[in-house]
Amino acid sequence: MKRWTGVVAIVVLVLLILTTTVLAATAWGSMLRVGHMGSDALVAHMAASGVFVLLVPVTAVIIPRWAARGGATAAGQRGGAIGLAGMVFWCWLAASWLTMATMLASMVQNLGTTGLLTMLSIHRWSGAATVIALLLLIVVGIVSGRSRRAPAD
Amino acid sequence: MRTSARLLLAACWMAAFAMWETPCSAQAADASRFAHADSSSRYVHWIDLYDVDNRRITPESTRPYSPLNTCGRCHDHEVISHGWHFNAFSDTVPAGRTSEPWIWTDERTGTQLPLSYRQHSQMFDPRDLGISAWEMTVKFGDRVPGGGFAAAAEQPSAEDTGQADRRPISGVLENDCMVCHAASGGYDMTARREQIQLQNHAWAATAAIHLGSVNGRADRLPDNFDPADAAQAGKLPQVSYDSRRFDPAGKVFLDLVRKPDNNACYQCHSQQDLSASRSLRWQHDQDVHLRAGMSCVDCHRNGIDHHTVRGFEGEVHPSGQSVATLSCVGCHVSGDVAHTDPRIGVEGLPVSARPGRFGAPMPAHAGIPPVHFDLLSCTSCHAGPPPSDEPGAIMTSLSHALGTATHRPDDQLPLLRSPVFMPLSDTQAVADAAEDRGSAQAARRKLHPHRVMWPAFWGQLDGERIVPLHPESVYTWTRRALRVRRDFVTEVSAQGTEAFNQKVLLALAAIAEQIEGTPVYVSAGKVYRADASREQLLSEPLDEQAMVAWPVGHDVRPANWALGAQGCSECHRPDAPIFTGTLLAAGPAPDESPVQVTMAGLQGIDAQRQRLWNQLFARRDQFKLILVASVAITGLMLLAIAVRWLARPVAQPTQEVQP
Repeated sequence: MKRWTGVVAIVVLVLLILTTTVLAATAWGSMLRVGHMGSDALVAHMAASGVFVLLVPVTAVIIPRWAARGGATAAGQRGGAIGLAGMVFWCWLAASWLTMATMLASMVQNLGTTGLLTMLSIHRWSGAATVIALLLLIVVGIVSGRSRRAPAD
Repeated sequence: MRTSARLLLAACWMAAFAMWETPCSAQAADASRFAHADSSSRYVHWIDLYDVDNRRITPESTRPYSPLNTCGRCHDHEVISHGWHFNAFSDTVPAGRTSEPWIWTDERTGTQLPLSYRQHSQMFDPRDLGISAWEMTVKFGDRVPGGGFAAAAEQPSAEDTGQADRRPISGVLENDCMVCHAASGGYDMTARREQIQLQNHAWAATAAIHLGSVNGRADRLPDNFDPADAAQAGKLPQVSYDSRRFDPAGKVFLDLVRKPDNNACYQCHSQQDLSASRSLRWQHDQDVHLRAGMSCVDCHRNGIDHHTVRGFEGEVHPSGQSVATLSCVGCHVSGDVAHTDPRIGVEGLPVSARPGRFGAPMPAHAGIPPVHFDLLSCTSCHAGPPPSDEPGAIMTSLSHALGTATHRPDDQLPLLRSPVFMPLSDTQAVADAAEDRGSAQAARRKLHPHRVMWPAFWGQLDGERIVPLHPESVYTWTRRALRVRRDFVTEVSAQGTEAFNQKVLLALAAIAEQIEGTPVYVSAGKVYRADASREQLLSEPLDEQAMVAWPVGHDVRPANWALGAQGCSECHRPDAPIFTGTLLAAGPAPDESPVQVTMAGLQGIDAQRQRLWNQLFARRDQFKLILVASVAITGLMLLAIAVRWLARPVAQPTQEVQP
């Protein structure tokens, strides 16, 4: 059971990293230009966002359990890295939630142009925060993994 | 003696004062040379009429009145004559945004040739084809308010077509102020057109306001007729003035309005929808602005310079005055953004530059992603006929002489199609002129609804270029070969491809005898020419850019009839006609496999990608549910962790135990 959770968690994480890469790559040009996305980028961004929306709640449920059962128990005793990883994870989740919420708000067709532009702006920056948080999570994950292996070495 | 000295001194003072005063007086006279009522009230025009020689018209006069000498007494004709309706002939005036061309139509030769003195894309300058101002006046004079090419002194430098300039006989078709400024019903355009068709150009203004009856026709007079010859002058058309129109002092009442009535605009700016989904006139609601009580000139207004505001986004008015709030976006959304700090918004605008003229409603555009406003003009969604699988046929006043009582078959030349959704096709010169104006440039890239046509003409190959031949010369050269009595389409094209090929080959051979290059016939985006043996007719498609297009802005539909008002899927579905609509090239030649172009193609969009994009919208509602669930689950997780964090046990500070 524990082993399967680990496999699923890794698959989810890999998919999440891939999806976020696509989202970031397609959004980057528009963020730099503060303009709208080109057609190919827009199609890719839309498609990837569909996967992202599915992955975020799965990640939110699975990763803390996996971390708590596995690495966290071992590494938790060492404090630092896992404490930081947990914090970064919840930051990532908060940024992801904001990104999805602004997407939803834009799609319910109640907001006027000003509201939509505000949502777009929030979406842009929360999306950037999501990417940065995920990057930090990966870095912290690698660091904590090394620190776990260190006694065996 | 003392008195004389005083008088002398006074005279010297007066002379000195006069010398000192002269420049200022002249300046003041210039500034006040023309009359100003300076009141919002309507000025009642009981006025004297003058003929072309500035002689006062009396009930006994037989010469027509001259609008130039009559109206020009109090109004600055020189300034007025540079306005949009009259200045096309001028080389010094910017071309402006592409507008409907003068389409030289000759049904006998299957010709529909788009002409413009303005340098618009794919249109031909009449001067380059040897078409004189006189010929343009004869052809199109009944569709202009006078002036412009109808009163131009310039003649083409190209080959002489043998057409004499008969203006010494017909008189000049002067700017006729009454065309627009007569009170509704006070001007008879039909009478004006009849006089122009009889070449009674100078008499048209008099006949149109029924000051009297005009007898005679200038077109019957020979080219060598000398109007200055007193012995022959009696042969010129004569006016019999209605003496009841003159008051005892010899003045005439002209019922004038400062703001032209809509009816005056309709004379030249009407259209007739011939598409399959057309609604009959009594079923049609017209432009929503007019229904709200506005008139054409509320937006399309002008000062004495007559530079009528065209009302498109990014328009730069020749006067330098801001006209931003007379465009859709300026009036309904943004106001004059050039005069404000975008961080402050509309509140930072001076009142005169704010949106909301005439109480214009401010649209919420709820749920429409703002990217649409970067890609689409307002008119794309709000004006003209909605997009259809195949743009339908349309007739316009300028091209089909709407307003004259006649029978018009649906396939009458020129063949126009609308609506076609594509970016503006301004020439590079226009683009360059607007280079430093960001909004104008951005507006050019947006989709706009257009009317389009494919030129059809007889021409000659000049390297890679096809140069049209003078249409009248073509008729003369091909008359015997084509043997068309009235209509090329019914008498040649409708007889089948074989008959068409045969006749066109004969016509091309006849033209080849008159010119040095290779003669060709162009129709519906294809060029026809004889093979080397001159026995086969070859046809090949031209570049799709051979199409001529000009944007349109009316009729504006109510907001709830705008494209997209019923949801994204109006445009974002696999078969949405705004992208998949197919435009079939139309022309006088028979064509079993006409040139086709999709809207997406005209918009520079890859059709495959567009289809993929639209497919993403197919399950949009289901995706929204998934998104709601996802946001809810994630939100609950965050809430739970926040509650846990807040409810965490707080570490008690360690109490020091006293020994």
